[in-house]
Amino acid sequence: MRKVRTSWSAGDVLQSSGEPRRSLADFGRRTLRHAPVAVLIFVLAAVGLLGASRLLSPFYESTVRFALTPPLAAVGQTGPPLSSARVDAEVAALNSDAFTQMLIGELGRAGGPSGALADGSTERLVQARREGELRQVRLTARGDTASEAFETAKVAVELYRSRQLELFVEPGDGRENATAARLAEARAALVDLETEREAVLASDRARPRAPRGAPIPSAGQRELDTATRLLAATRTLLESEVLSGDIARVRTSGVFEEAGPLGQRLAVEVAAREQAEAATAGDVDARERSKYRVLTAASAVAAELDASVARLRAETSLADGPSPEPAPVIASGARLQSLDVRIAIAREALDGAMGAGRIDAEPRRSLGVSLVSGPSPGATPLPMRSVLIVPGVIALALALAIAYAATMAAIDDRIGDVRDVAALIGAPVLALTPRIAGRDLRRLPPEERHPANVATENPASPFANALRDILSSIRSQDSSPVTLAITGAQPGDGATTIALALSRMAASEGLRVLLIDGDVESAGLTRIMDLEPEVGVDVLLDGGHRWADLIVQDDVTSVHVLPAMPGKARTGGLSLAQLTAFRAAVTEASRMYDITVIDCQSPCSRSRFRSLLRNSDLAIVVASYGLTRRSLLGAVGRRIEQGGSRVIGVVLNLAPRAARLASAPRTPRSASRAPLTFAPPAQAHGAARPSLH
Amino acid sequence: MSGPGGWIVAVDFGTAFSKAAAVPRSATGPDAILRARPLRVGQVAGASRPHFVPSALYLADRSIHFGPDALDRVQRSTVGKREALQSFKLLLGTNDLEAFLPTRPSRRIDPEGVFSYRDLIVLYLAYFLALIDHAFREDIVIDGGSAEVWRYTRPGWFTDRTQNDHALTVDLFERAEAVRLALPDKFWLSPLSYEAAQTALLAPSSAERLNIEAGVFEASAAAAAYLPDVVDKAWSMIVVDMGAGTTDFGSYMRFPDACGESKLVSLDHTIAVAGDDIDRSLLNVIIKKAKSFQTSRERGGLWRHLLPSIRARKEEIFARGHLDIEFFGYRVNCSVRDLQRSRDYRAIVRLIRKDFAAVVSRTARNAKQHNLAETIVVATGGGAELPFMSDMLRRATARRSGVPVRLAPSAPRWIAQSDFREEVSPIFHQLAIAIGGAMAPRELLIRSVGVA
Repeated sequence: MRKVRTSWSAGDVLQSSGEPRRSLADFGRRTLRHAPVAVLIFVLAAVGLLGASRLLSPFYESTVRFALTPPLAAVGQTGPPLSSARVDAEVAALNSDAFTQMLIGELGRAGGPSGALADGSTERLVQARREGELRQVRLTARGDTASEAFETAKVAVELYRSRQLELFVEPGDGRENATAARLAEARAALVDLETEREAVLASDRARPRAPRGAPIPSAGQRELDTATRLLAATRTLLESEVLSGDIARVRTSGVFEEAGPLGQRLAVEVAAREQAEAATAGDVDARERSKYRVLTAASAVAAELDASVARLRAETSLADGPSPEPAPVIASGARLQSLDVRIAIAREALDGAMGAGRIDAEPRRSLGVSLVSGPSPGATPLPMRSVLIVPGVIALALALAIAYAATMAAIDDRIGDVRDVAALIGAPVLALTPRIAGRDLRRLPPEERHPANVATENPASPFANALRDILSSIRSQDSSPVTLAITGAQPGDGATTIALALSRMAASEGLRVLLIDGDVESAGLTRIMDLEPEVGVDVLLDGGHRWADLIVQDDVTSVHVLPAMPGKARTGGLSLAQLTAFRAAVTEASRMYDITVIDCQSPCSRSRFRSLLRNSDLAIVVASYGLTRRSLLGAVGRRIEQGGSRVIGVVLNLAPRAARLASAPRTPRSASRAPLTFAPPAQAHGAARPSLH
Repeated sequence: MSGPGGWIVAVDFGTAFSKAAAVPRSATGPDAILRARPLRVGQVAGASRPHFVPSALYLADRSIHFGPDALDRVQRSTVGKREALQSFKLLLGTNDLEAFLPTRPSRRIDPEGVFSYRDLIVLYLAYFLALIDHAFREDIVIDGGSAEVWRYTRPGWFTDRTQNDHALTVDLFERAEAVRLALPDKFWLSPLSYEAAQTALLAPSSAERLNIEAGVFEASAAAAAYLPDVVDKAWSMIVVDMGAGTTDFGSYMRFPDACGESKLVSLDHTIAVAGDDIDRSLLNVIIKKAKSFQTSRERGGLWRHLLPSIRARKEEIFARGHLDIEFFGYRVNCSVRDLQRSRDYRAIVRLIRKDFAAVVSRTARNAKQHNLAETIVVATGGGAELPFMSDMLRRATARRSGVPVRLAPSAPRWIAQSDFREEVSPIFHQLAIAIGGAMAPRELLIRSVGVA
């Protein structure tokens, strides 16, 4: 249906007076009517204010996220090689959220026992983490090696320190006092290694030198040299990988290839490692996995070479005759080389444990941390704590919501109470017509999905029951035949729907009904009924047509209709002669029917045809629950009375299910919504108490 | 209908189908149960199913068509927006029956505006009483017995006017009986002319009035049909009866009270959401899929074309999982998923589930309070076999609060001993209300309204 805009005069509304006074309970009800919007405002305000408070309080500027570099369990060890599946599993476990959470927990506790954090910093950090504020600090592992990662971690530590947090970052192993234990362990390891190195050097110095001009080495001796050279290269590889990860430094110009099957095996792994390095740029996990494979292979090769060197040395000594001194320089050199590597590692571990040097590369898990996003420049901590912000924000949002609801209730002029209506207009409420649900409309054939058709389709519906109540009120009037105007207080109140449905209901009760579409400008009734007349009711204004020639019969009931012509409204006002001609036609027609219903524009509208309402004896005003303004309803009532019609009552349309007239009987649907209660059958339905609930 | 051997006859005036059953009045206990007779009214009417008569009237060419003939005619009708009068039970559920009965149906039902709703309901009742009379006389077990007491079943809408509604319903039955007597035997075999109908409607009530004992709440009737299976002295039973027009919930509980006397309490609940609503949802789904039908007028035509057969199509889509329809040279495929995804279908299921859950919850709580061992759930009506109903019942049995809930079999055990077990067992859920209405003990009957 086409919507027609209708303008209103301010005076019509302002003339309203004598409204019933509103009670406190009424104010409460009105306030509650705005509760849904108020709740929405509360939620939006709370979310908005909380968000704003977070923006204003950058307690921590970056988000912390820790991940570990994969475990270096096999480095420098001679144990069995790690399988790739195990490496994958460890990498996945170390990068999991759970482990990250554990580390953040460690971070919260860090320095607690050692006192590295300033007073209250730990609590502040833990509190911030619990409240999710730590999200703004972001650190993640990106280093190819532990030492690289640690360099960036030191930056993070400095950043924390600059914010007076004095945060001490170290790998967490889930145990209290881990730092002290590791420190002691690292120191002991270093001292042991250095002592051993000194012992080796002393032993070297004490050993007699080999005489110059020694004989040319035998074949066994050459093999031993090769093995020794390969062992040295392998150890260099191990050291390079462990300490710097710089694989390019390990290029050994074919030394591995020349060293027989062992060397070739290592060469393959190194080649694979280089390939992986090139192909997986940025993929830390893949790089680390290839690195482990090289380290594992190198460790294995080193172990085999150690054994091989020992064996060759023994064979060589046997082949070259009895020689009690087995190449002392080479032997102690290899041992010293190994010790140097281990000492370097132990120093790193010690430095890492002390937080001032390189992170340890011992065969244990190492923490790699790097700063991804630093703090925003110039941000300062907000003095207000979160614990105060949240309740404050909620209270503020609640106050806003209540203020909205109360303000709206105070200025709300719409009908919200059935008891108000009678006092406003000076006529009773004839019926409450319910809002027709979409599901009820979809029970109708597609072209008839209009509320006016619901009563015809379902004569037992609450809407039909309400129409019967209206009809019985009309019948109780001492007037026959009846000319009844039905008008809405404002457009959209449902006057046309009520006029059509009521006319059909009257026809179904055996009355002869004439229905006139008096809303000439929009022809709403004609449109709803899907009529296509050749001429409209407006021709009666000129007196040139007989009303009987315009009659169209409703295809649902026996109602006769005088339709309007959609889109062919006249311009200009109505003259007295036109009104008189129209009145004469209506008067003549109404003699032929038991009831003549005129669907009229509101008397408060600016429509030129609003005066057609004066052709009726009786009038019903349709108002919408929760939509129609109270002041307007009063004004409509007075205008109708001034026009010479009598308002017999108000139909309150779109009434909520809970609304009920005091005199109304219980409808089946409302009965079905009664609370479920058990009762003895006799009490429930017996003659003594026919009502169930 | 008179003679030795009195019977109680229950009329289930269903929204979609009318059914009737009889039990001997004098016999008590198991004997009465085993002699219960579902009457073959459908067979007498020439319907496709022997125990069911479509609740429909169709007016055309100044003649009235009843039952299966009415549906057949309306389906073949080529006249614009013509409709059959159906869903009588819902009409009787209006809150002011007295004011409603004199009103006239729309011109789509009665083009000439000759009859009121009262006239048409009386005519249909007369037709149905005549079918009952024939079925009763032809039943080999009843064999010359007489229908001495009548009961009718009704939904659980109990209002301030319910007592008055009972009086009006009794009046409708008595008028119908007078019309039946005034019309020739087997008058439904050919369309009844307006003149004959109007003359019969003016016939005075017969001296021999129908003895209408009570209107029985449909869920109570269904419960009565399962009571013979209950052996314990204390028991609890929930009934969900999803028909075409209404879904009735009933909960019944017997337990010893503080004085040690056996006490029966009950709860009832009815919603106007049922099989018809699912039919309409399916119609909307089909029409939505028929993209060639663009305008609302074309869609309205399609709606009317499909409406008379939609109930059968609903059964088909649930049985086969999909539906292929051809109309006006156009083909539409519709799956049960399409229906289950539709907004209206989901709303219907949600409403029924919610109310059923409330009834089960309340019953389980009360049953626990009275130390009952379990609660039995009975599902009856045409909707009892819909998938969502099965799912709903299964969920009820899986709940863990209160007392355990057990699902009753689709037909009670006592049926296995009856003469009609083979013909009735598969459709017992649809006949339960008629059979239970006839065999309901007076104690449950008092749950009805307007006890004579």
